[in-house]
Order: sequence, then structure tokens, then C-alpha cells
Amino acid sequence: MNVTGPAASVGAWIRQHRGRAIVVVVAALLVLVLMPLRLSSYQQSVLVDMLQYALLALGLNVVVGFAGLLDLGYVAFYAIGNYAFAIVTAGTFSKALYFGNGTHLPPLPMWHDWMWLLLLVGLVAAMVAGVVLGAPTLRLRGDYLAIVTLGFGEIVRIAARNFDSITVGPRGITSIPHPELHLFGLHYSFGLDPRPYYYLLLVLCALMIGVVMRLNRSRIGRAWVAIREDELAAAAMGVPTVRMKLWAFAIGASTAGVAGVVNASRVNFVSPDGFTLLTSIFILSMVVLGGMGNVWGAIVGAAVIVVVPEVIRSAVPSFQQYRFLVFGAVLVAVMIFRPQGLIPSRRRAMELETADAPL
Amino acid sequence: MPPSDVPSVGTGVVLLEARKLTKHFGGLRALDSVDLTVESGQIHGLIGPNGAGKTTFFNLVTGMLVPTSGEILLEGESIVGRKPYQVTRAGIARTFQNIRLFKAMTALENVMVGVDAGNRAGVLEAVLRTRRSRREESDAGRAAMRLLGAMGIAALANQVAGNLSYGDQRRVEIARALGTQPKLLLLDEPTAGMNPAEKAGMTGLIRQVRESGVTILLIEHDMKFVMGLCEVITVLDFGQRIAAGPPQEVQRDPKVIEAYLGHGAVDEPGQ
Repeated sequence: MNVTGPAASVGAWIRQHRGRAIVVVVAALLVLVLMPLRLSSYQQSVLVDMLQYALLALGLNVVVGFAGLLDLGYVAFYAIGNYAFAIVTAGTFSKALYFGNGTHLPPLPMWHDWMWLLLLVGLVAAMVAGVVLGAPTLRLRGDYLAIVTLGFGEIVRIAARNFDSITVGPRGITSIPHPELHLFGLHYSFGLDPRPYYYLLLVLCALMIGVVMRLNRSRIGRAWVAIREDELAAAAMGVPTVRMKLWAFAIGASTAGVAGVVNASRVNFVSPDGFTLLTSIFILSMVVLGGMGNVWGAIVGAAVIVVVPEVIRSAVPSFQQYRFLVFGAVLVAVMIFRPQGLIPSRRRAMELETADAPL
Repeated sequence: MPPSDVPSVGTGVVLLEARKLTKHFGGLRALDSVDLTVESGQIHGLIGPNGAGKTTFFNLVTGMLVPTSGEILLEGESIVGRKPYQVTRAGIARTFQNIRLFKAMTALENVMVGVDAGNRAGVLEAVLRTRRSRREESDAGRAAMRLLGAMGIAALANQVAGNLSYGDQRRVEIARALGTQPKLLLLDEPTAGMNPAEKAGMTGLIRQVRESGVTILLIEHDMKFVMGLCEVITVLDFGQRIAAGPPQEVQRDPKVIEAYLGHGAVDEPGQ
């Protein structure tokens, strides 16, 4: 009961037109499931990129959009997910145990049978990193938190660059195996084909959407919005502000960790160059462009920022040089004409409106 | 001076007790060894000229500031050093001088944030929508609705708080504070900016809150309002308690008259 705003109107519509709602959902699912079959391999891989960024944006949206914590080092958690998978599967971990005596030990067979469990390893590793970073720093506000997270992002990248014995330094970890699924007699190797990754990411995104929407409608979601709007008043109303911010941080980080595991298993190569500040900014732009605090906004943001440049690039090959120029111009234009994002959340739009009033 | 020298109209059971409460901001003594006792069931007024330390007192009691020295006891138990959310959960809720609602949330959601203080379902339960989280959610909605009804603004439940009129925002803020199920409600200038009719309404509302079993400590500048509503009044001036007692006595107290009339023409800095 008592869901309010647009959520209520969508809910009411679904209750009134149950039949039509089911048709819409089934049709959308069919499109999503069948879409890759009609596309070229290149187009499929763009779609996979899009979903992977959508997953990242969904996670960052919890941190920035819901809890209002500006995290400029989000890529660090993505990196940790990537390296967690790479180190465990590609044998550098076992090599490190032998202090790099040169023999490349074959990956332990166990990992191949239980590879899907590595999603959990990436999730937990990134979540732990999120809590370790968050616990001391989430007492900071606004700009200060942004600077600390910015630093953390760089620290993780530089550590990966220099921790040769485990991360193989700037050369990166190669020969990361593709995932294999051995479940109840079912055997499936992922290989180079983008499609299985597409479906895997589709499932992960759907799960994340479900998680985020449920949180958003619970006391946790209310606490996040309360903190974002007025931290002092939230504390005065019994909201444990530091703990709630830490949760937002941990949920965002673990999502990036999972996305990292999928990425490492897909591209078979992890190097520090993939985790620069620019990637953090890219993901942040997706959240801002789509509409902070809105689940669908994060997905639309990811779609626009990943797919549109690819489309233009195939139409105008010289576009590649001007990519960031156009990207910057588009962001500026959106911020001027639609500061609440393409699909704004009701609350965020409201905040921008009331922000005009003198404080 | 032992705090028990204050004549009581309450039940005689001490709910909140501040002992020699002191707060210094650098060289400024915002509060200087203030004793104050609130008995269960009272409507207690805290008055004094601008800068007397009234809001500082509220901030100390609610854990937003840490006292330089002194004790704060809630039902005999010290609450000094507790975080604001812990103080709230222990049973002290407050409103703010300059209304601090979550403006982009609806009135109902605002009150639900307060009600949530008593809920326990965590992140995992919210994700799994366990039985407890669903029950708490619907109970919270009902409780919030009931509180808005008690404040006479049930019809505004789904309005965005930032769009409500000033008086209605004050009511939502009180409902939100009551949502935390406080034993003691601190109201910081509940009638600021209200017209006489709205003030009369607020008097009735505060009495009604007290009837529901919540003790009230309020800061107010409107003397007519305070004298008509409060059973006990404590007067602060320059961070010190200069008088305490029933309204008729306090009104006649020469120190109080001096504090108000003597300083009335002087421009004093706010807190």
C-alpha cells in the first residue's frame, strides 16, 4: 500500500489492465531475448558492452542517485572485480605463491567446475573494498568525499600497475579462461561468441533492477533519500546515516565487482589501463544523463553513451577523432536543457525545482 | 541549586534532566551550567532572548552537539555521547526552527521516515521482501497516515512536502517527529511565522499531543502563546538559567523582566 507518485500510477495501470501489462512485458522480454539473433557479431558485442555499462550504471546510481554520494573512483571496484577473476583463474595467484619462479602453473581444475561462483568472489572482493574505503570516508561530505574516492580510484589502478607479482603490472594478465558452466549435468562453454554474455548480463541487469526497485520502495530507500536531502534531519529522525551510506556504497561496489568478473571472463585480458578516471566519469555521465535516482534512466544513459557513438562511427568513420568533443558538447547541452536527466526521478526533479528557492 | 526546586505540574516522574550542562564555542559560553528538569506529562517552555542558548540546548539534548561538560539524563540514564539517531531511538524527537522536511518526498513519506526508526528489516530483508519487511512497510504506511490524520492533514498525504503551506509543513514535521514514537518531543519555535488563528490551532495540537502521552519541551518567542500553553517555564539568558517555574511566577520575576526589556533594544547576534 501507499506507494506514491509515478510508481503508484504505473502500479494502478498494471492493476487495471493486467492483460495488457502481461502482453507488454512478454513482448519486451521476447525482443530482448531474440534481438541478438538478428544482429551481426559486431552489433552483438556493442549490445554486450551496453549491458555491461548498464549494470555498472545501475550500481553507481545507488551511490550517486539514491544516497547522493559523489563517487569519482567507482572504476576501482570494477577493477577489483576484473582482477579478482583474472588472478584466481589465470594462475597468477598460484604463481605468486611460488614467488614468480617462472613456471606458469595450469589453472586449478576446480575453478572450471565452479566458475560461476567467481561472480560471488568478485562481488565480495569489491564489497569489502567498498566497506574498507567507505567506513572512514563516509563521514566526509560532498566535495571531500569526491576527492577521496577520486584518489582511491587512482590508488587501485597504480597498485595494479606496480604489484607485479600478482597483477603482472602494466603488461596485464592474459590467458584468462572463458567461463564454463557445469550445472546439473549441463555443460556449456562461453567462448568468443558475445551472445552468452549478452544473456548473462541481461539476467544480472534484471536482478539488479529488481534489487534496486525493492530497496527504493523500502525503508532503506527512504533513508537514502532522506540522507541525500537533509542529512542532519535524517539523523534526527533516527536514520543511522553512516551505516546507510555504507550500504549504498557496498551495494554499488559489489555491482561493479560482478560487472568486472563478467568483463574479465569475456575479454580474457585485464590491464591497469582499462581502469582510468575516464571510465569512472563515463559511468557517472550515464547516471547523470539518464536521470539520477532513476533505474530506467541509468539504463537509457548507458544505452545512449555506448550505442550512439558506435552508430555515428559506422556512419561517419572520421567521427572517432571528435568523439570526446561531441560527447562533452552533448553533456553540456543536456545539463542546460534537461538538468534532471532524460528520465528524471520524480524526487530529483522536485529537488531541482525547490533548489531555486533561497535556502 | 538542585533542579528539584522547580514546582511541577507534571506527574512528578522526571523524564529529562540536564545537570550543569555547559557548551563553549571557543570563547563563547553558549550554555553555562544549566540545570533543567522536565517531568513526564509536562508542557515545558524554554524561553529567552535571541542568543540565550535555547537551540544549543536542544542540539545538546538530541546529540547533535557534544557538551563541554555536564550531564543529560533520560529516565535516569545518561545520553551524553550518543549519536543523534540513537538519541531519537531512545525516545527524544525534535522539530527544527527553520523547518527541515525532506522537501521532495511526499508528506506521507516524510512521516514514514520517522516511523521507520522503530522498524528493523534491513537491506537483505527489503530485497527479499520478507514477511517482516512487508508487514513493517504496510504498518509504517498506516501509522504515518494515522499521524497525519491526527495533525488534521490526512488529505495532504500524497502532496510533495516542499509544495505545502508553511503551517502544513510545521504539522508534517511534528507528525514526522511523532512517528519515531518519542517520550519527549522538542519543538523549536513551533509557531514561528504563523498568524494568530494558526497559533491557536497549534496550541490545541500541542495539547492534543500531550494528551496522547508525549511530554513536550518547546522553545517559543511568542509570550502569549507560551504563557497560555506551558505549565512550567525555564528562562535562559546569555547561556544561564535565570528563572524557572510556573508562568505567573516567571512573568513577575525581575531578572526575567530585565533580560527582556533591558536587552530588547540591543541588537544581539543569533546563535
